[in-house]
Amino acid sequence: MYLSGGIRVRTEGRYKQLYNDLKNFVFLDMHEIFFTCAAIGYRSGKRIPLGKSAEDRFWSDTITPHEFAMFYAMVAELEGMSCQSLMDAKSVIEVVEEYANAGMEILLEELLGEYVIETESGPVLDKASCDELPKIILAHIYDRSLSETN
Amino acid sequence: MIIQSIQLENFRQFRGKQQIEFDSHKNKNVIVIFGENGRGKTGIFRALMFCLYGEKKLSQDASVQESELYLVNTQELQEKSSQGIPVESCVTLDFLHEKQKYKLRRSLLGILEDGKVIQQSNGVKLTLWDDEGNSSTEKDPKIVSQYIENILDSALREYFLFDGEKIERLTRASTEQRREISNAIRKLLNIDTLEKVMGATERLKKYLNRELEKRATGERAEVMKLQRLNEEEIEGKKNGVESLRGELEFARLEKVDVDKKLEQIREIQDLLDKRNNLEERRSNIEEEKNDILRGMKERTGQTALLLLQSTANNVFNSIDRRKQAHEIPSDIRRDLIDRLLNEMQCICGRHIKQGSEAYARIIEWRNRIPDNATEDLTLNLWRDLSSARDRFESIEENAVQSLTKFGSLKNEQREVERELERLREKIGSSERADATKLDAHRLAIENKIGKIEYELTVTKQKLDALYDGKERLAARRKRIEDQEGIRDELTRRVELVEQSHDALLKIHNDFTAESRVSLGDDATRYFMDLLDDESRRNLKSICVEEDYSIQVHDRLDKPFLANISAGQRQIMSIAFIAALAKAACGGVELLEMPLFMDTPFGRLSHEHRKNLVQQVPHWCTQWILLATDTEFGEFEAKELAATGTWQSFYILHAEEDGSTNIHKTTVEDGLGYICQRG
Amino acid sequence: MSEIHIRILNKLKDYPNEIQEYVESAFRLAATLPEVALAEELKAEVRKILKEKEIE
Repeated sequence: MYLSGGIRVRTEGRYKQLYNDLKNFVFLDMHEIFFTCAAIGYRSGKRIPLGKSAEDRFWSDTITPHEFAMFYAMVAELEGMSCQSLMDAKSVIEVVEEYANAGMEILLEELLGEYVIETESGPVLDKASCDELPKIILAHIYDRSLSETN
Repeated sequence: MIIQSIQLENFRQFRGKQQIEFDSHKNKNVIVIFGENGRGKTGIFRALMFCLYGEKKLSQDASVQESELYLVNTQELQEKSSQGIPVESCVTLDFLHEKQKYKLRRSLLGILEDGKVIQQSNGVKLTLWDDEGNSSTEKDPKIVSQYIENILDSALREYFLFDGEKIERLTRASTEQRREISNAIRKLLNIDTLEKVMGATERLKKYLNRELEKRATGERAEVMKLQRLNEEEIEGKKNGVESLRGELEFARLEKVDVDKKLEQIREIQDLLDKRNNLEERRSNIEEEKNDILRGMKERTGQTALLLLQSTANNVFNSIDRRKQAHEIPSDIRRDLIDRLLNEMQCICGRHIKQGSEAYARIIEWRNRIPDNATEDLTLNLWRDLSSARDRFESIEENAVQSLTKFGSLKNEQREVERELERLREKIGSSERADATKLDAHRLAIENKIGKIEYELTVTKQKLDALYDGKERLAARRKRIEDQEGIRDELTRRVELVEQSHDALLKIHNDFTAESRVSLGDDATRYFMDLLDDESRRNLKSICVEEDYSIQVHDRLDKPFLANISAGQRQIMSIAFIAALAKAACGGVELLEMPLFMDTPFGRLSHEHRKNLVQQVPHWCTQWILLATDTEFGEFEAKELAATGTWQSFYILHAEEDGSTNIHKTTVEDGLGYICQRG
Repeated sequence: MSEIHIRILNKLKDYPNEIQEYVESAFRLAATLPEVALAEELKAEVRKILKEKEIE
């Protein structure tokens, strides 16, 4: 069903605190973080299946129509523009989860590494250095988008 | 006294026999003695004091031990000591006083022993000539002293030397200043004896009252006890007043100090304002940055849409192409074709057979058409992608705008920080720059001053009340004594002594008041002579207050001392010392004593210097000006030369062995010498 | 007698004789005595002045 609600979107367990922190300091909500990571992962052509420690992160109801449309577009593009593949929203989400997983890893590698502290349960934001993080991430996304359109 | 010559022999820096001559021109009465510091200018005044009074110390030597004050020339001492020969140091003064001629010679013997200088008096000789030219000699120090005291009281000798320190001391309202003036007046009036008699009478009064109290009974005893307590309280309050005055003065000085600092701050007020503005701008920038960051937080998620522009475009275009090709939405819905196949009917209604070409074509058509759900999804997707694409431009614009704005704010912030740092360096230490703290401190001091002034008023009021009480108690006692017919001998003694004490106190106050007024009047005349035109318009008089401090009044008779400049203060001080000198001379218009002025020009403007140089020669019979090259330059020399009062010019030269040589030149040569030095 | 003494005595002209006498004696003694000793001497002077007055 188009724009299905009621689906639990998952991420790696180790990113749980990071998602929470990013929601407090940089983004408005979980779905935005997820979308951004998915976009980064897709644009880099990298996808990493979720492991055993994957956890539910948020409900698909919160995903905006535009975000959902982009997810569909990603999968349609992957499946040679076949819209048939989009009929099962759950499997669309599952594909996007893998891209988001990779996207987070890329984001950590390329940008967030300086701003997080590694703990046993996973990376957490170093609050002391987060003052300008919204700007830093926005700039990063924008710069990436410039190379994406070139 | 008019000095004719002063001869120094091995005295202080002056090795061998050296002389300063004072010619007796009525109109040319100024001698300039010119030399760098340490060359012996004050030494000449010292020679005069030694010769007249046998005094080794001047008032500026207060903290120096007499044994450390060497009058004998050290170079001569060192040379002669190796031969075991003592050195005679002497000063000979030739002078006229009230038309009588005198020659006074006083000497010391000095020897260097085990590195220590030992000096001892070597006698004095006074020769006088009468009208007929007959001379007589006196060698008894006591008699010589009497002669000299009659010419100039030794207690007053210091008023003929105007040295920089003395001038400075009198410029500042301080306990020192008041003490100096009160001592001067006491010396001038010669009221030491009066004060001694008052002291003794006070003692006697206390003693007699104690005796009386012991013997008194009943109400009288009670009143006497109250009187004693009253006296003690009065004493206590008088001490209180003195101590409060001291505290007040200290607080006032503190305030002056703070005002100076605030003045410095005013000079840097521009910088401080700039700093405050920049600090405000800095905090505004921080706020603006935070606003932008908040906005960015709201936009970051959307901005990620830009990452999938090409994907969105590809898929959109693909669907759009199919739409253009009328593939979607399909003309006929798939479920309709399914029905046709079930009914084995063509759309035109003709029956079709399975396996036939028509049948195959219908199958093919069916396969081409997406199912409804998929078609719906595709169309919805197309719609959402379309609206998403419409937003790309504005999302990009917003992102660019906020990033650019943030960047320029950061640059501005860096610039502001740099500027603040530069200002911080210019402004200096934080204490100096903290006007707010200083203002608060000043306010605290002002409050303190207010409190002390109030306390002072209250204490004075209490003192007045105590004096009233004293009168009432005295009256009460008299009434009792009259009633009880107590007029015993002891009581009468007490009465006599008390009345005598009161009389002496009144006389003392009258004398000192008269003296203060007279000093004030003279000081005012000298002051007006010396002031520049503008100051003369604003300032009216100098007066000596009851507490012996000096006050200057403006033309509206308001106290104005706190507002006069340093130069005006110096003039005030010089005028005052001249008034003291005049009083010391018995109040005559023309001071018949030489006035020594040691570097008096200090902080004076050109006009003041000119006035000084023009006026002082008319104040006294001889003006000896001791000057350094920084004080007495071309301007001063030319002004003095123009007055026609300049008699001679002496230069104190430093010799190789460290001693000083007195070198006399003419005024013309002296003028040339000074102009050459530039 | 010094000038100041003359001036002081002039100022006392309107005061009773005993006071003038007291002051005169005090100044005379003060020429040679310090304050404490002067106070001692004046004890006797005061008695003397009052006795003379009585006799008058």
